[in-house]
Amino acid sequence: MTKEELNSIIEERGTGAPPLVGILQEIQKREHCLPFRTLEMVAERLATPMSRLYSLATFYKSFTLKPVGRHAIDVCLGTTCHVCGGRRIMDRLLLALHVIEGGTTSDHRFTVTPVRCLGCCSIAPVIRIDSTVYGHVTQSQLAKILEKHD
Amino acid sequence: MVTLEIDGQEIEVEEGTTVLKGAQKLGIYIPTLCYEETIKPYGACRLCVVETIVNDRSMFQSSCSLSVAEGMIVKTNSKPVVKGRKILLELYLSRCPEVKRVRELCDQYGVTETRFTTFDKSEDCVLCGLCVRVCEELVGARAIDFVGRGTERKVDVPFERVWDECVACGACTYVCPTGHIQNEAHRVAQLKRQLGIQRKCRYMLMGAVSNKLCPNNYECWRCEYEQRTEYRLGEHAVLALKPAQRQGG
Repeated sequence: MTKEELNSIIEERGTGAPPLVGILQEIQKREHCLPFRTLEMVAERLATPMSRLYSLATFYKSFTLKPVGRHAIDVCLGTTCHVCGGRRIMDRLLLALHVIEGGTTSDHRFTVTPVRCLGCCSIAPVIRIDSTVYGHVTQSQLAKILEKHD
Repeated sequence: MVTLEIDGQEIEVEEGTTVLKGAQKLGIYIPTLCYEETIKPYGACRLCVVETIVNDRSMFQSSCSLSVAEGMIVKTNSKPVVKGRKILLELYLSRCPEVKRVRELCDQYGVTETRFTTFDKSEDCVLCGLCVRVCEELVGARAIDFVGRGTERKVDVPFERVWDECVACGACTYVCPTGHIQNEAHRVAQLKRQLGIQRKCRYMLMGAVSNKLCPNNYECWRCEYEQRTEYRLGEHAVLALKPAQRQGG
């Protein structure tokens, strides 16, 4: 992320204490992680101590310090999805993408993470890619669903 | 001026003072872990909890962050308060069973064993946040902060490496009630105690070399001492000891 991009984000959101999380969210959205260099730039620009940024970045689950894939795949393993075979969907995905749970594919396309419940148990088993939710997923559908996202 | 009653004794204090300070004025002891007079109250340890009765209703509030109110009745040692403190102390004992300060408090309240599971016996941080607050409020350096959340919460420097923000004033080590926060020099000393003062230089065949002095400035490829210290300290032990050299390199 260049300095100009960062400046535009900061100007959009103001420089007080509460927008700090907003700024980090925006960076996370654009870069898919919080790169060290960018955090350094934020600290310098806002005169915020690095410890504060690091504390926030490690506290909230939505921030990652390590780069993740362009698309986040959340596989629901909640009670209902578990009963309806969410685990098998997960295993199939991991096999197809050659990753481990929470891992990123080598082409930085997908990151697969298990989640507990997405709140739509009536269409279990459920997977979510970015913000699109797919219900009644079967193993044979997976390849088609993955094709839609590159 | 506000009049209130603490443990049956009436006291008149200025508006805005905390109940804890009022009790201390009367000579009533309230146990604390995360309280320090010069720093803003934080209310993390909950050991200073007291029972307050306002309009015939009793409430449990931490006395370090509770300001006095007119006609307030405070009980610092009632049965429910002591019971609550005992449970808290059990929790502290399960988290850090070998910390002297926690043990002392447990002895005071007759807590000998805990019903909760101990995960790490060597754990000695109670997460009181004193070091973080001292660094922020008194020193103004803000070099350390809490990292992570939940069971993985701990006090650390960002990215686990040495930063220029830390002025090595030692305020955090002084204020820490358990001795968890230690200076880097202490860790280097600990390391030396483990590894010995001299070591064998295997790769450049220089024989026994002092840990402090390396003719090659620890720059040999595959210097295992370098790797080991870097792994433990995040930075080279010797460079941590010699800030001038760090600036130069």
